[in-house]
Amino acid sequence: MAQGAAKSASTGGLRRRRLLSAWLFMVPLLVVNLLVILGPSVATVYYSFTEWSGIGPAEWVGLQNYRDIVADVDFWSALLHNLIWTMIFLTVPIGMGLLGAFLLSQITRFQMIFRVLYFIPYVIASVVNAALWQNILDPSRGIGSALATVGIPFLDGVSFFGSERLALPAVAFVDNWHWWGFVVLLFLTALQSVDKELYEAAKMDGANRWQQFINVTIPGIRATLVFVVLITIIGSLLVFDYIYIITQGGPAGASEVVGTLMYKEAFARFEAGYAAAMGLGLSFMSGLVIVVFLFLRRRGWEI
Amino acid sequence: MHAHISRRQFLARGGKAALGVGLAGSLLSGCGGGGGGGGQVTYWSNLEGSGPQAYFKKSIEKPFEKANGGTDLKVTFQPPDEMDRLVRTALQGGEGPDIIMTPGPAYAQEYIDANLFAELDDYSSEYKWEDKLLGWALDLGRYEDKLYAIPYQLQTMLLYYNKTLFEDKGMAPPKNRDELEAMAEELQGQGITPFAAGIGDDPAAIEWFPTVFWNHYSGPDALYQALTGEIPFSDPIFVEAIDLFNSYVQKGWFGGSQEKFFSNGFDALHADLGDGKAGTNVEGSWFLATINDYFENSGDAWDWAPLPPLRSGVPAELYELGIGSTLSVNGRAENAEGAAAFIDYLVADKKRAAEWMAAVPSAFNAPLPFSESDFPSSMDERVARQLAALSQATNQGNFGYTAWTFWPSKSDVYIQEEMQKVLTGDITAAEFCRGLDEQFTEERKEGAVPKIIKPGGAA
Amino acid sequence: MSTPARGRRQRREPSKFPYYIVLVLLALFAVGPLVVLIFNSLKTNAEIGRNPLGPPTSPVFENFATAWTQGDFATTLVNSTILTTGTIVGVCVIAGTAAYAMARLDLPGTNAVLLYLFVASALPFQLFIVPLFFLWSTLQLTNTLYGLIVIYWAIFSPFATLLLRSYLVALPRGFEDAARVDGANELQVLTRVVLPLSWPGFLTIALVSGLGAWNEFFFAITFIQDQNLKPVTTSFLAFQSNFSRDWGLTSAASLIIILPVLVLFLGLQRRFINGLTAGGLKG
Repeated sequence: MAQGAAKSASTGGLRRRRLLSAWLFMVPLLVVNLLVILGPSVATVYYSFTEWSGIGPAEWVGLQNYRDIVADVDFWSALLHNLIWTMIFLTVPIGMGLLGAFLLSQITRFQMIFRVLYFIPYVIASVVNAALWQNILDPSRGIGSALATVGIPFLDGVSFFGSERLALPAVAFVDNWHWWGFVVLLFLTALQSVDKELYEAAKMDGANRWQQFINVTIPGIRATLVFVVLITIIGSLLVFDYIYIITQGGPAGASEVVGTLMYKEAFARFEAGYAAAMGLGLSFMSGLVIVVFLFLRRRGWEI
Repeated sequence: MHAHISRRQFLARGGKAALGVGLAGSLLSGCGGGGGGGGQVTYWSNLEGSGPQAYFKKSIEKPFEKANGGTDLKVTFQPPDEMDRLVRTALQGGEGPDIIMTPGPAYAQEYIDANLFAELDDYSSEYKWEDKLLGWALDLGRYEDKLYAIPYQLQTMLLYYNKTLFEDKGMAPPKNRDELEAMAEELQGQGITPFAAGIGDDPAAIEWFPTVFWNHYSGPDALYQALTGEIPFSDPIFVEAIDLFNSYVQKGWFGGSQEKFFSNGFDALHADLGDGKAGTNVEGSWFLATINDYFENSGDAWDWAPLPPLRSGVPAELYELGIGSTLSVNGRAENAEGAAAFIDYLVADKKRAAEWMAAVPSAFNAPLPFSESDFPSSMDERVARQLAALSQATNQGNFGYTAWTFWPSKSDVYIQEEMQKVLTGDITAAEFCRGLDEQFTEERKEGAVPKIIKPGGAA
Repeated sequence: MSTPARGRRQRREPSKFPYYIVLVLLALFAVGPLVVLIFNSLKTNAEIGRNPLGPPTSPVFENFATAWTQGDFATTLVNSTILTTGTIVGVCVIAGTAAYAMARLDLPGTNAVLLYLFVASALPFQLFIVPLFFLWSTLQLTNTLYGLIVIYWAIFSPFATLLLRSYLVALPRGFEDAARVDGANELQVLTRVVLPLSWPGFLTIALVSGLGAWNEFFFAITFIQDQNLKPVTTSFLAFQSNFSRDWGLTSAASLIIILPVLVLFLGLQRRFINGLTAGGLKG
């Protein structure tokens, strides 16, 4: 009654109020982020233009650190490893995640048990996971020699983390083992919001399972899928913990990524200014990826 | 009492920390306070394991607080791998403990350059450290003739061997390169890994091996010359040492194969030694702390021997000198007096240090002139023998240098990273040494090389 | 409520069997290695060195008691519970309001905020720890649990906001508009309409940020020095000594740390499943 009258009278006021609440709702996020991340990052930007050991005063060197990075062979080799890592993580865990989530969404019996089981590796601290796999993949006591005793010798004596060729994929394998179950969970949660009627409609139209997956499932979870792709790319640029724990970038730099290289620069070689520049280079690259994403969004992609 | 403390705080905060410390120290001793003097002292320790930590609390922290009435020692056990990063972060943020531990003299120097450590000369005379501690150790803590750091956790590299296995095979620890190579061939021929080795748990540990080969092949005199800038690290004598190590690795002597060398973890390689699957192990004296655990299962006996000379002209018994940490007083410490008192209590008392070293074998060796009779009977004979040997070696001059103590930090990191590339064949030993020379020369120019003590003659 | 009927219908379809085969294989891949962890939690360290995969020859059940006391879990579990609870509550509020504003309130400059959030979650935090420590020291927030919680809010909320936003975008808008027509303000719309509808999303961000806080080590070790305030991840340090680690105790300790998380996750599972349907019914 009175409500209806007020509403028609001031649509403008309502919009203004909505705008105000929108910004009010952003306040906690922005405050905390400015305090903890943006503020200290400004200092990091400053340090990236200095020669600084991490303690004591920093000496302004302008763009020198950035110039050094461009000429740093180790940096480019590490970045290449980041790209390989990105390729692995854009395919393997996302593929496994889609498969697992789709299959789970199609069943009701034991669904809960499966999703708990898939998720367990994600729960465990990285130090423990890493050590577990170091034991399992040990060349002389691990799974390879165990298989050899039952007549499957092709993995016997293979040193997964000690070989230049295998170290990077082997660490990626361990990280993926810990990560893919989480991707299943992300996709499954998104799948639950997909309208069941759409599947029924697709079935009516004679779509087989694969067609249902492509035409109903994928569009239904598009926002989550894009999100996972983005965090995968960014996460792969920043990857640090499993590599640092298992190989520390070795043997002979074969699994070095920019994250581990940067950490060594800052805390082993005490080139904190150089490390800051390297880190900002990483952030810049992540920024580029995101700009592309936003561009696509503006082009009308609902993501 | 209160007046003293606030005066000390005032002076310390005024920037001239050293002056404040000196003044307060003399004022306090003037009061007849002895050591300590109340208040809180914070200390971050790199001590690991709940057993040793419990020992520390019971036998060092509590008695210290009792002996220095009113002083409250607040200990935080920090993981050794993280310690230096944590100290840096805290000091840069204006915090940090009163007693600061660094991973060695080369690291300490940087803090001193940044004016973060208090001068210790007044305490040194107050507590008579000159009389008690080994002279060279104190020298290592001096910068521009002022004392800032006390070296702690003395280490050396040893050749551990499975004694039972050696006796069964009628073998003895090698005394020279020929014997060493004969031993390795013999063991490998029988399917036993000559040297249990691997850097899977800690790739930086690769530095142990260039350290050993440079000392026992190139020799301490050559190293002294290189470290003081007289000859370059690209000198053939260093290249040959690296080539020798590399050839041993490629033969599978270290850890079984080149790839296994990169992936073997410490527990696995230690178990190999204990089980007789490997004959020997080249490792630091810290391994004495846990070696017994790995021999429990087989019941075998173990012992250690000095690493043999690999070239004629190198001393037959040579111990490379390593320092696991240094202790300093934070320039901003409010209770610098109490901090110094604790350093004295922890490091300089022979009897207490010997008991501590018996309780946690060889992990926290104080730089004191020990002989075997100084140690309690509870100490393992092999541990006592090692401690006495190292102590005597530093007096008699038959010592060498470890990379993590005498090389400046970037050169040390260079060794850790690039040595791997020699083993994988990405670079040659000569290229490796040339790169090291460049890095070292640069750091030497910056004054980052710690004081190098001369081997050979008595100090 | 409607599940029994649906379940019956699906059980009549015979072709689900291959699904189960694939699902079981995936499950074996996920938890097979954990059997090794359980085995190792019952071995001495020396036994792990020589038998890292097989079952223990004589199970050492004392490992759990030893790990409990040596790791000081009585203290660290309490601290981590406080840290985790504080983190979850804060992140849900911060990310919930922000995601709602971006997905539903036509926040101007959403693109810019998104860009900022992604970049913020893409900063290598090893880098800004020194200036952050300086700031926290000035604000006297070092060595306190709430100081650490605020850091966790900041580092976990960008990801949570982005994740939650991607769920909210996919939700139908009809219910909210209906509530607005009924005169509800935006906070009421968020808590009474959107929240019940997006339970799975909120549970996911609670889970992710909670796990993040529970397993976090880098900031915890840097900002907390008081032994009485240390979290569970530092309990692992007790089993380490001179270049080696007691893997038996470490494995036992990791099972101790996993257990509360698993119990919680199992408890929340029902809400995950029922969340959407319950919300739908209410609407």
